[in-house]
Amino acid sequence: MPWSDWIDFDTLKTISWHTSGVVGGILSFIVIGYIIDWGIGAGPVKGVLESIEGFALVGLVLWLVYQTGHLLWIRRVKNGSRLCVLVA
Amino acid sequence: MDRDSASWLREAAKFYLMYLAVGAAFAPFGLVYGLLALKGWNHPLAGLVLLAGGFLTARFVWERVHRRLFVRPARVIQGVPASASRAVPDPVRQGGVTTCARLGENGWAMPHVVDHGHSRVLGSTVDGLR
Repeated sequence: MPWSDWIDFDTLKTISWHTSGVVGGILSFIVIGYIIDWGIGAGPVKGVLESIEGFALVGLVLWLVYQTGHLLWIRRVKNGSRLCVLVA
Repeated sequence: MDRDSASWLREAAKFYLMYLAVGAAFAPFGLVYGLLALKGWNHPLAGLVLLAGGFLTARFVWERVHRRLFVRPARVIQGVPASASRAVPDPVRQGGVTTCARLGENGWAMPHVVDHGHSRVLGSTVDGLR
């Protein structure tokens, strides 16, 4: 059996979209946070902005984990396989 | 750039927008946490509760943005009654192929109800469900 029969390329492609999306999102929030931080300077507002940025970054990572798990679970059920990326 | 790469980049750009929206959904909860921290009430439990709130909001936002980016509404042409256009099932929830079959069974000529752009979306929906 060719090796390509054992890999679900659709799942890999979708995971690559999610990964690129979350990497882009994290970089964007870091850059936006850096610019705002640079503009505002020190003060109590800085802590609030750091909280907002932290929540956004943690949220993005949480959401990636949730989406990937959800996707792999769906493919696991569909493929009848324990390893989701591998087609049974 | 070949067609596959362009297609991959287009889809990746959509996911990027969706993840930006998700990050923005968490931001108000970060603001609340920041304000609580200013008052000295930055308990870890409060952070967890706010994260959970952000997660629920993100789910809502994700659904909305996904619907907007990936599902285009069918363009209703003159001559088709409004009740008929409302009865057109959602291709994603119903399954693209099934929808086509149902439309055919109900005697609605496909070109009058669904435009070519929608057919493209239908195709990608089927790909997504595969």
